[in-house]
Amino acid sequence: MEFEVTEEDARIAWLAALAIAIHVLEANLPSPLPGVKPGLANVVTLAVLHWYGFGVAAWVSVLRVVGGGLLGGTFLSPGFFLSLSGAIASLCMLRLATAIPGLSSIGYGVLAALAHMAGQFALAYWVLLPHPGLLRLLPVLMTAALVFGFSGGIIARAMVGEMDRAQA
Amino acid sequence: MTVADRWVVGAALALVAWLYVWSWGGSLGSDAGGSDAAGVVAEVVVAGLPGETIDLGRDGEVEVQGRMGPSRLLVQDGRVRFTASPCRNKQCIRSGWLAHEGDFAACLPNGVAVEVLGPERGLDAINY
Repeated sequence: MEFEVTEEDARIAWLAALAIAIHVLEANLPSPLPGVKPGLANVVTLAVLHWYGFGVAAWVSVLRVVGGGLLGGTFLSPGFFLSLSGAIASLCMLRLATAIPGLSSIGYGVLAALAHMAGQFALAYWVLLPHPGLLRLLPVLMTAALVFGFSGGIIARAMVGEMDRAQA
Repeated sequence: MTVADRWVVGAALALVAWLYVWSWGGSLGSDAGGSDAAGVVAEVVVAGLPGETIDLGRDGEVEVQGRMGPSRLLVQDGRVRFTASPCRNKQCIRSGWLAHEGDFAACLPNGVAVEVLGPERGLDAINY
């Protein structure tokens, strides 16, 4: 059996590889709180969303979680499912957000990060650790998501701007 | 930053601010307040005897006869602690206040143990 590799397949593979590399690097950063990460890999998702649209961004995001899990040795572990639920939630949010006119990567970044954290938290709270004390952590986690989503959005917008200018 | 971005960031800030109020502002109840201590009980076990429960909603002192002599427990603000025990090391007293479900202190020489009970048993430890 042979698969025909379309140009888009190759593009998705390259971008996913880039996102996975960042994901794995970032997984090794120490974090003061479980679940809090700068989310630099999501910068790739934001840039891909800008250039190629939602479909490619969704592929890259899901491939990043699966590939990152395989490389990091966390595949099918609780951490992997947290990552996956966050990615799915942020993709759903981005899908809705593309309907809002005039958003730049900053707005997308903030929305995606908040949704990512909310999705991750929902899984943690309902499945992994149903303890009311966890709810007290939610504002702190969402603050981190807001800050990192915003800064990630700024990075993505700067990157997208540079690349667009270089190609023009 | 576009106008739409500003709206999104503004709404996100408002949401996070509201989360602080909702989560920390008391609507979920405080950890150690007398008001929500109603119904919370602790089980006191003396070696070899069936345990008995004490109501943490009512402040007061309880004296328990152990193997070596009396241990005293103090109940206050929905919490309970050892205040006196005839043992040597006083580990039970150093355990301090027991406020949360699953909190446990024991005076092994005297054979007295106290555990806070609740509707659902929490986790002993979490490892990431």
